[in-house]
Amino acid sequence: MQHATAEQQALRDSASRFLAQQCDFARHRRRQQQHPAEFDRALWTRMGELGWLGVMLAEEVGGLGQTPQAALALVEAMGGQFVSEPYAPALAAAQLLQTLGKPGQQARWLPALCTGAALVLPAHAEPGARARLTCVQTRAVRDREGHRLDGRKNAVPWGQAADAWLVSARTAGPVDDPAGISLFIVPRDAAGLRLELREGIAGEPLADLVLDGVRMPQDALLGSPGQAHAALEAAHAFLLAAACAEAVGTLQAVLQATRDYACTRQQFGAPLARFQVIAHRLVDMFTQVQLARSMAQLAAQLLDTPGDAATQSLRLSACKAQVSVACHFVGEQAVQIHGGIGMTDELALSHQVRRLLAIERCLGDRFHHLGVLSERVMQGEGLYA
Amino acid sequence: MHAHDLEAEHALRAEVRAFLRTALPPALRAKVLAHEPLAKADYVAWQTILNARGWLAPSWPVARGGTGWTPRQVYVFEEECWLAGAPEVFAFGPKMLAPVLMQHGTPAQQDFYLPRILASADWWCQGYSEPGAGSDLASLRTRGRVEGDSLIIDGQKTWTTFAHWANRMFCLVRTDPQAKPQEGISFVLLDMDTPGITVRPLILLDGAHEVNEVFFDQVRVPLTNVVGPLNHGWTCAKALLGHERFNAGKIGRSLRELRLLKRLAAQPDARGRSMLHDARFAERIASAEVDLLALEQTTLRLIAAAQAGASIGVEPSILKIRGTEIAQQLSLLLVQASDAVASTHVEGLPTPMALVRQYLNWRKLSIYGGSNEVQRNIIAKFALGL
Repeated sequence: MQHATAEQQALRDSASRFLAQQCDFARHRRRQQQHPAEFDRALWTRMGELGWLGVMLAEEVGGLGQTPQAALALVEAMGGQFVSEPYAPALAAAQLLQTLGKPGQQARWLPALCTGAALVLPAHAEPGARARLTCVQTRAVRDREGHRLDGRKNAVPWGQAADAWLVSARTAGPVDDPAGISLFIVPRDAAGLRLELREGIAGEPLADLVLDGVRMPQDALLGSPGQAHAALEAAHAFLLAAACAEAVGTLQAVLQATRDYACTRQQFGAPLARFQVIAHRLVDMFTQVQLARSMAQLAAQLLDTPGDAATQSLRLSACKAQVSVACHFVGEQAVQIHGGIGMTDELALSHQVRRLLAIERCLGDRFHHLGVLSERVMQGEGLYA
Repeated sequence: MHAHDLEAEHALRAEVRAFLRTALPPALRAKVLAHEPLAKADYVAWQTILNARGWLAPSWPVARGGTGWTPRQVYVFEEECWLAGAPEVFAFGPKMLAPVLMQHGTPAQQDFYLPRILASADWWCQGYSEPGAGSDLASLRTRGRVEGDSLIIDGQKTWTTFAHWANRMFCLVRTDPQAKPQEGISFVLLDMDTPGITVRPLILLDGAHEVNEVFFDQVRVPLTNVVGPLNHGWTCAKALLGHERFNAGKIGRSLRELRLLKRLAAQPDARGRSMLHDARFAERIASAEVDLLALEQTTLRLIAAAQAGASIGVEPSILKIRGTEIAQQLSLLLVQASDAVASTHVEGLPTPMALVRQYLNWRKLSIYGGSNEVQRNIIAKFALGL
């Protein structure tokens, strides 16, 4: 089994130092008070200069040509700081362009994505899809010039800042059919497209895309019609692994803050940590962080382990199920051990707890993934033969 | 289940499987999988077979009869043994006493005792716990008084597992009553047939005779049976706790029980349905599988870090806590599943009563070897600095 290489650890550590300076809690709070939220182009460009935005892309287009593990090391570092920028989704979009894009599309977008000059984000999830990747109801109907898109895409983080979105739409098949899903690159000025803005669980800006007769020319299609599912599945796997990595960074920060608080806060003439009930609770949090770290590492390994796709997806479900428990448990206990102060908006911890909740809710929570696993158990299969 | 084997593990796994297919006697395997109580002769038979293959004590140095395997390979070996339905190797000799002797014993002690452990010529028990010293081991009161070249031991041990099968005991006795609790203790080897030793059975809540009380009444032991310097027994005892930590989760055992659980849950009830097809029960199985995968990955992660040269702190205490919690949960699910099965006996599966006995017996898992609460204290102190 591989574990984080020295190179990845060095990358994560230097990223942590950079982010601690650039993305501290004061900046986070200032930005949360902005309405509408303003995308930090300067930071994004800096990430491009550091090579982070093209970390997995080929060197020919300006990328670093690294493995997903390197990208996930960066995501973990971001989890420990206050970074709400849509880093993992942007990487997923770049991967989709690299996998499905025609040479012209790649030449147009990939170099600009590497530098941060352009932002492209995936817009796949739909309302009520309940984390099912194949649940695509947005239709793309063939017309003379290309396709006409109608439907709704849900909760794209920093969606309003994107120059274009990768919108999935059904060119054939019923709602849950893996075949018949196509991917279009839709620019922000497309006629018939409307954005509805709202805030996510952790205060991050979200955009819902409402597509009302959006006409896209034929060259907006990525890859062959109806064949986007495999690439979307790979992007989904990356995003799941990224959610786990971000969780680990956040969990570690929350555990550390809670441990430090319990060692300094005095009640009944002693630090909280002297009370065994508190000490054991912290140990249970520590245990959950360790288990989450192991599963995040497994998720990262699964991304470049060749093997049966069904087994891979099942194991990713197990990773998210376990990491979700950690998000939930560690978040709740951190607030509990902090007591009243843990409830307040002014404490950085409460923002991290909300971030943990957001991670838990995204891409299917424990309930969802245990459901997926239970179905397989009922068929006489499961994680173990 | 082993999608992450490296090449070296992959080859070993195949070799171990092939060995188990031919070497493990079918009757013994059936007994283990049916969760029937094993006799001492069953354990001795299996350990003799393992020893003939050179695999009884894989973690020992090669010069002493070990294999030279990496910790990861030892893990693979143990997992395959569990899954095949092999009896567990009795830990007291090969896994607990042997590392202490290798680290602190005299050459004479090593040369005499180590080969006898491999040959199953000696069967060891562990004399640690006392009526007033369980998790708080340092408050033990059994006394050892030096008289010439002997130690005269008086006192009592309890929870002494399989003392009634053992011909020897390694134990902790207080040899300096004036010293601080952890400082006046010695690590002593004794023959169970020494005059003055009485073994009395303690029957546990599952009805089994596993543990005993052992009384010492002026038991005379030569001073050459002390391991390490007199009054330095606590160091030996701590060394013992440091070994075999990566297998503390006993994941192979839980994987075996998980397999049994799935087979049992697939058996029809009186209406021809099964627990496996009850979504609520299937989710409990799925949940146990996730728990096991997370523990397995944590174990492999710690082993990988150790093999890469990182110093591993108290993280293995997590493996003990989670491993025992999961095993206990599985033992409960097995009882629930067996309760639903219509036929009173299914070939190759444990009886409902055997599973109830296992459920009851396995309450011990979170108590022995440093209770799970003590493990939490250890993590709190050494990993979190509380």
